[in-house]
Amino acid sequence: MKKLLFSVFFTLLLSALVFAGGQQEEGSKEAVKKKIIIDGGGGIVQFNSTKSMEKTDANPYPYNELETLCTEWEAIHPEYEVEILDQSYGGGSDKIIPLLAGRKAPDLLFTLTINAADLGGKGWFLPLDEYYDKPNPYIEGNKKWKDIFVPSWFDAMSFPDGHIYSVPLDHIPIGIIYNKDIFEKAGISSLPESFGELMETQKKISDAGFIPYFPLYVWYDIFLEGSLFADLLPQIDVLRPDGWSDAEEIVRAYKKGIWEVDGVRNREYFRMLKEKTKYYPEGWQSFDAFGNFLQGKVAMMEGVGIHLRMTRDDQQREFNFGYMPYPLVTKEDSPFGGKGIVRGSAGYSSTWFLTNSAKEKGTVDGAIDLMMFLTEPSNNARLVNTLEAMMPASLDAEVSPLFEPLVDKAVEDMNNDFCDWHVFNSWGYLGSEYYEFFLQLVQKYELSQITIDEALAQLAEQTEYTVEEMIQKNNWDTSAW
Amino acid sequence: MLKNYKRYGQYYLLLLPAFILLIIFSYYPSFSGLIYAFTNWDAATASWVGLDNFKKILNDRILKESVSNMLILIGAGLVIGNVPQIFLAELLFNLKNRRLSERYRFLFTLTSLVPMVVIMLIWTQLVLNPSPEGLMNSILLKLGGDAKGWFGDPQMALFSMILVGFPWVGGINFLIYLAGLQGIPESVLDASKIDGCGTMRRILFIDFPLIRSQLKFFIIMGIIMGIQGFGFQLLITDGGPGTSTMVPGMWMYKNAFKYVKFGYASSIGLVMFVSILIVTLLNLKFIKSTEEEVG
Amino acid sequence: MVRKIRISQILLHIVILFLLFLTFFPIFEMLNKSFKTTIQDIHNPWWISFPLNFENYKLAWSYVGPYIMNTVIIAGSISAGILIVASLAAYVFARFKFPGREFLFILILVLLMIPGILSLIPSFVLVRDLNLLDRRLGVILPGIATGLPFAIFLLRTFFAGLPGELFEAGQIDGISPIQAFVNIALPLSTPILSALLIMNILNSWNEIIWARIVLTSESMRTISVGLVPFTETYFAQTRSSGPALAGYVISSLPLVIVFFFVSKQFIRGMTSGAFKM
Repeated sequence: MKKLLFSVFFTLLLSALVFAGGQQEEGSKEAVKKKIIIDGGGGIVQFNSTKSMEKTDANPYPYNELETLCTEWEAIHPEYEVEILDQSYGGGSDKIIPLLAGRKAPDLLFTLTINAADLGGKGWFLPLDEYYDKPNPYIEGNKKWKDIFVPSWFDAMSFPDGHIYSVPLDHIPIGIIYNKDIFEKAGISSLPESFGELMETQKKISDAGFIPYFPLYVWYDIFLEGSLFADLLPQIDVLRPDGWSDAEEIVRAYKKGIWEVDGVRNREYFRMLKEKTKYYPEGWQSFDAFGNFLQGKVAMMEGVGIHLRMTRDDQQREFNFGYMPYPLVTKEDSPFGGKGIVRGSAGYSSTWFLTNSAKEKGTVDGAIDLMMFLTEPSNNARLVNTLEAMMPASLDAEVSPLFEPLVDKAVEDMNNDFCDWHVFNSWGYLGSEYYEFFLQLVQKYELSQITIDEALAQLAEQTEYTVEEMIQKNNWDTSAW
Repeated sequence: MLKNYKRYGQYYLLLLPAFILLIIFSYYPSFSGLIYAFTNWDAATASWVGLDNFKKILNDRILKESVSNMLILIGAGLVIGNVPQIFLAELLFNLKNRRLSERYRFLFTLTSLVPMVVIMLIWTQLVLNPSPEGLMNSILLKLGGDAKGWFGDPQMALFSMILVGFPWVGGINFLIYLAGLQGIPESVLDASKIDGCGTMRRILFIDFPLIRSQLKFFIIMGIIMGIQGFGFQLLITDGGPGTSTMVPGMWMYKNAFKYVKFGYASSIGLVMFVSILIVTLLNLKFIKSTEEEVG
Repeated sequence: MVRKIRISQILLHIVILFLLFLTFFPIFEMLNKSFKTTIQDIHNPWWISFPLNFENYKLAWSYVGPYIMNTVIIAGSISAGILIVASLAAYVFARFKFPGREFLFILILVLLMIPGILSLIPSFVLVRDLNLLDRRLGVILPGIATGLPFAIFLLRTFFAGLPGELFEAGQIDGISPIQAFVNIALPLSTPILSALLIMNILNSWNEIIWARIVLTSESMRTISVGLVPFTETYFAQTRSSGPALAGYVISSLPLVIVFFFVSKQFIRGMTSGAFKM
């Protein structure tokens, strides 16, 4: 009996093989239409349609706005057909690199900017500068498409070669979510506004028996570096004076000794990086920060849009929550402090690239037009706000009420001439090898595996190597510095 | 003579399907990957750089750290991948009730269907959760110890990785040891009983030599897979915190797909390949299996 | 004496049941969490929460259901292909002497030692140039090639262990090697073949990166390609893994069924003595 079953099973498999061999691609019924394939995003930035539009406990955030907008766009452009990948590659490099190298990537590919720079300079992405100088036909009176974006964030998207290759659809709301009840129990009446006050607050909370603070990613580390180096900006931001330090400017600053890895300023940065972790619980690196926060065990947690959204929607939450921006670094906190950094948003950190496939297929104009359509303020607002996880990239687009306080903060800071988020982030723009090296190093240092001297010595070695490599790779003209 | 060739021809013909598939889909891509070890391939363009990548390997601090991590993991892997499995096989072998023994076998093998994601969730978020409420930490606290940071503590991270899967008996390897044990002739077992040989002595002096060829299989496979492996790092630790769980495979992967330095990654891959080859050949040469000794 | 044996037997059962409990714990949690809503998952992550939420399964089905047939075809073809090609080759390696035998065998073993991830780009470009992108064959053929070395290695040991007299008798009767393979070797090797079958189905069932880049259109998807990205984004967006785990439960059901049917053969195959050196 078993033998019979087995042989039946085996024959089935064999016939499956034959069947599979005979399979062909689906016929091209609508060969006349040009097909634009767009990747819907990844991780927290996700515009893919959910399979169901019914809002249930299992499916708390049904969404299909990108699909709807694409259908509307198709109606205006009958010569094109838009396909949204039902499952995005999410910027996963082991998938997108083979696809790009094989010239089979989606026409519009989602990538996190931090990974994207390493993918540049290979002819995989198409430069978009000329399109950004053209008017966006969907916006009345628009002269240049790029005018609808926040200028400094827009500039910060540029690659080491100075060109812009990507289109942002959103920017990420960021700040600290806090548990009002714990604050009350710990007797804290005012929110910390400076680094020093943040440390005092943490101490009080820690004494009251709660976990005071959890970081998210390394957002505050970026914020701190910017705060400490911002007053060097006039010396660094000279090749393209636009309010932030690009890769070439950072490398130049290193070569000219303006940015010293083992200098006083960087030492101060490292000191603060470690001080920041003083009240973190042991093993914080592998803590489920958000789960603990929602369970009411954590007083403060860095969060982006989705955290704010989920905290609001958690019906079993037993505490009141509030939001505060990152505390600034004042003159009292550090001799290098005193410069404000724009709070409330992390800028355009996830963007869409036009790939070599689009060029081969001849869909470039269509894909650009689609992106212009999607960044038109009212469309952009629909696309992004329905999701309630990000804020629209377009300046004039409305922001969902949940994030309004954040935008107000960002606008207020900008009006106060605060520096931009990207003002100086040495390890964010020198390629992902340097970036990861820095993060590993800081982890070792924060967890007391190595001393500050060892950390800076190793960093100096890596910086020297990376800087030379960057100069060589990008053919920068060092004599013009 | 001619007849010989005809016969050989037949054999080669039967090997042909395998080799056609392997040449097209394995040898060609693998070796064109390894050749890039001598270039600075960045997935788009490549130029010959000779031995530069290998010089860089010699000075690669992270690679050095990762090799020692790997050795620890392989060593631990060989122990936890075999000792508990042999233990379970012995337990099942000593069961008198055949029916139940078969049931147990079926149930233990069933656990090989659990996806990695589930194991990951349970071990990082429940058992080795670094908060005082974590399962292991609450046990430690009850016993009067301190709560540990586990995966978040660079000193503990490797150890935590090894702990994952405790008691390490699920899966299918124990079946293979069971097979070795079942190969012991009844007469030997009976003789041992008559001699008044205790269970422990029997295990050490009768059972163990008989499962040596299985053990050898697992040691060699364990080393081959151990040098290449980085699945856990890819899914969970990313080699961290710091570089405390970094292994050469993961470092190769990072160089290839994160830093887009495929040339350098290929040279790490080539070194890994050559080391595996040497270790395996040495293994085959020095660990003689029982059958060879007898034959 | 009798009592002593009984006590030790009971002890054995207790130890085994305890080990079984520990190894089954992940399965319990997988089922338990698969019924949780996002909020239940946050506030009561490890113990059962009521009401059980069957919505998860409905949602997960939409990510898994449509792809089951495809996955069966692909995993089935890969496994069948490996068994057929590998058993032929292993048989030749095990039973016949010919020039270059050892060399060719080592050449195959060497493939087990090359880090596979490095050949991802060359493989992809190759499959593209062979015009196999977005076709099942683009996953099946490389899948067979990947599984071959280990299968050949294992089967060779198995065939070498079969009693030689069987084949000598055949040779006297003047049957060809193929006839001997089909009539003598294969019938004896169903257990090891089913062991290999299960192992290969398991591997190709869970394979993700390759299937993800080769099969681009939705009608070609396999379960893991549908499920894993969904799992990742769902977790990123809601911090909960309920529907994802429901998806894993659904996707492993076919495996459990296959396993149930061939488990006896499988266990016999694993215990057939091929896994040795």
